[in-house]
Amino acid sequence: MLKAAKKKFNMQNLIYLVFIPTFIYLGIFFLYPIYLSIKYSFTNISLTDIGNYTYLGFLNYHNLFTSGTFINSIYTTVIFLVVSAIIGQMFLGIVVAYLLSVTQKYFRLIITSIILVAWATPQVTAGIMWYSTLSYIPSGTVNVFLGYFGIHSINFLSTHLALMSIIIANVWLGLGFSVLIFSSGISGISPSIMKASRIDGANPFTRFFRIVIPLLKKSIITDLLLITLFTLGAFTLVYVMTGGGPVNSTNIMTIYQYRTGFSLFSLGLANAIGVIIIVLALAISILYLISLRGD
Amino acid sequence: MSSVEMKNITKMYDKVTVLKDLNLKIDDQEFFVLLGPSGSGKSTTLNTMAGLDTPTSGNILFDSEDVTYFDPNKRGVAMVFQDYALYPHMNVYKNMAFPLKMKRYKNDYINKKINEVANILGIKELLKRLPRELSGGQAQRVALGRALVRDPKIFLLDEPLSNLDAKIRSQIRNELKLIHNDLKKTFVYVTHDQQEAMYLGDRVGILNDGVIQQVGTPQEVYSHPKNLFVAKFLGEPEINIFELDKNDGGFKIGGVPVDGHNFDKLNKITIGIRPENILLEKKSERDMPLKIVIRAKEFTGSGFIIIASTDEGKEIRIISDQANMDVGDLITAYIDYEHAILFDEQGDSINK
Amino acid sequence: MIKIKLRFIVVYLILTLLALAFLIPFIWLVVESFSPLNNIGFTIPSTFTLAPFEHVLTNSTFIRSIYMGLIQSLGATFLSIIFAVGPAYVFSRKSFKFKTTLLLGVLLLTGFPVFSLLVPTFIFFIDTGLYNTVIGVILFLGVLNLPIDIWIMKNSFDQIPKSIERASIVDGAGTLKSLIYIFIPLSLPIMAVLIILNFVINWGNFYVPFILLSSSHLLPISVRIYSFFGAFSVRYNELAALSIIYTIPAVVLYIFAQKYMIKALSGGIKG
Repeated sequence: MLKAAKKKFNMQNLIYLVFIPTFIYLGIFFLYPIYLSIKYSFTNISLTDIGNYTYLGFLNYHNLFTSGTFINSIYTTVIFLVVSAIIGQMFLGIVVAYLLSVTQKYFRLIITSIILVAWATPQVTAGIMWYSTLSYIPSGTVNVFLGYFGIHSINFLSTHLALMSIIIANVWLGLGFSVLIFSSGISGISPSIMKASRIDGANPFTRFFRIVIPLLKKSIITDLLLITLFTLGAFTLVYVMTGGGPVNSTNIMTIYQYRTGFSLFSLGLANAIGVIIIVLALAISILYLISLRGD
Repeated sequence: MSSVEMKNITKMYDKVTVLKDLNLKIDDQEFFVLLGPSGSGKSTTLNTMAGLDTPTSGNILFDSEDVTYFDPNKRGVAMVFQDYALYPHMNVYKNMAFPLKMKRYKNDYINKKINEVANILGIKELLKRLPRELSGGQAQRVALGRALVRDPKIFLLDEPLSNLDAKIRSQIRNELKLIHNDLKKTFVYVTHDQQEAMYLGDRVGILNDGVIQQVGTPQEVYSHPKNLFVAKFLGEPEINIFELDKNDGGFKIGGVPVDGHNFDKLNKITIGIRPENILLEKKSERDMPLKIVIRAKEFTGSGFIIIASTDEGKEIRIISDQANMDVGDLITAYIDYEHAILFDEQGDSINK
Repeated sequence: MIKIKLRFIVVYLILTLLALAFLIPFIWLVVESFSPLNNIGFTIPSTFTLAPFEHVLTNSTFIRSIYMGLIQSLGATFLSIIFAVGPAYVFSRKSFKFKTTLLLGVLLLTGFPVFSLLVPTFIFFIDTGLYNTVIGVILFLGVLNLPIDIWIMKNSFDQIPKSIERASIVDGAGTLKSLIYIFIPLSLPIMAVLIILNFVINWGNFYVPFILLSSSHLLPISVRIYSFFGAFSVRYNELAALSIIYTIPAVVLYIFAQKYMIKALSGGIKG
């Protein structure tokens, strides 16, 4: 009897071996680069000679936080995050999902598909399309349309407007994801709750703010976390559209990191920027976990 | 031939004890029903019999052979699940063939066996269908069929009827009873539905908080519950309960003393009386009167359920075949002393 | 009544306008790809032509970049799926010490800002000789999707009712046979969807090959399009045509997987 019990015990534990290859893979190509990132952030490693570097302590971090360009980059990133992710994608996403929920099935399917096509478009293509669409000279699609209404051409990718332009492009790209999350959230609200609130005399606006939004709390938190992380790590769309310019006006942190490492060859400094991005992302994730635990 | 014996079974998940020192003996060919509310441990008991769970301590014997650490496929049991657990990617035939294929039976035999069982269950036309094309009743018949083809020693059924609607439920319930009569095999059936338990069980074991409360024939557990939990859990409408404090050295309802010896040591007793045992006319001098106001009358088809309240404001239910009274009437009803069940302060039943 | 109707018309109108606005960026891409003109701005040509597509599809550099894109995306997809299956199964079906902690770790990696890892990985790859190799790109792309694949697969496995596996075990299948006859066949739709999603994500990835590759003949289509876009004299109509060839599979597969995903996760499994 004891022998049988022991055998069962061993057989069951054998299955845990499947973790080993995965952990090794993750360890070498995911966790080890994280370690390297921290390590190199304390060095002056340079693209010109990566074999030779010396440890600088916190000098890279000190330099970053006293550099106007970096502070400006954080500022640009925050604006980009708040306006394009939180206001643009999340808030607009809830509204669109709510509006879609009251429309006819096939209409809803068509509109959702169009919004999703944007989300599925590879970012390189999206960047090129938006670059052309907002082009000033020669006139892109938007300026040609404005011309039909007698409005003068606008230089959307100029220093003053470029940030707004990448925000719009990013909302365009990411809205589909939020709409998907909120649509499934709304479809999870029991129809009898909606009916009851209607009978109780709530108008569409009170229904939206008093019933839909509170019931979507969990979807909102999930969406908020994911799109914040997506946007914090966004690179391709902005890089293709503006390359961070003109004059650093769209120099979000990922682009700043890339340019520091590969245009200025300061890989040590670039790693320090990377570590700051990672810390920010972790802080956001932990905030999210705490807010979920509060439920 | 297969009896089941569970000896001192304790099952713990992490630090939660689900079964506490459970002892149970199920006879060969018996239809045994494990009855209990959800979370009482009845499904865990069944899973340990099946070998899907291993008890933390204690032993399980099939025909006095210790099978505690046997794998499920070595135990010769078949199991039917509440959600049918049909394999969604296999049609009905393949579902039923699966246990036989696992035992490496020849295709001829498998074919013969499935047809035989399909005939018994009336599912011959369904053999080519996929589970998602079946109604709930059909799916449960197939699940039953998958258990039957194996000729197991013991059938384990985990709330097999609770996902079905009322009509099909009673139909399959009848069929189950007939199948058991024909097969003469041991059935262990888990349910939370006391009516189902009464109807099906040769014996019923009532489980609460991982502890067996009482084992007995349906009549025994209904009429002679060992404790208040069993009394309340069985019967619909629920048993009427009166808690009495000692008064002038005895217990009284409506001025009539409650007969009984060994009351000296008790300060409180509880009387349980089933709704059908509250009389509208006195039968004996020992019956206890209740002044009641009629609150509602429900017609059940065979009689009436009368909902009334006593002058102390306690709501009681009476089953009666006559109802020559109206809502609001003030009448006197009687607790039939002969059928009254007495409990002590701990809720255990006491002799009159 | 009229008020309600008006409200609905407004809703339909708003959504229609939004959808139209969403299509604006595609106008240039589609028009330009069939245009004989070569213009980054927007002009409707007097005639349309298939020439840009022909040029692109007969250009060996572009064909090679499609091929490289396929190899890199498929290779990485293969790695992610293979390494995700086992842990996902164990996470879904077993309970063990540190399970919550490990899952939390996987979740944190899922939301990790992976772009920031490219600088250290670049140095790491130069040190180890993986820089500027297809296998290096595949290894790194593959590890990026691994956490989310474990997560999605675990969640999908959770949807396969436990009672079905238990039934198969009581039916005499044993753990291995239950895995082969019951669990894997039931997981196939989920796998298919996940493979497609992984492929689309890898196919769309630009910055990994952009930073980890330098040789022109190794560049996948995503990077090729970008360098074409940034080149000195660009043929924009061919750029548009190439972009369409690059984009359509991603969009079609994604929309397909999206629809199938919901089905696989809800209806497909319950019997």
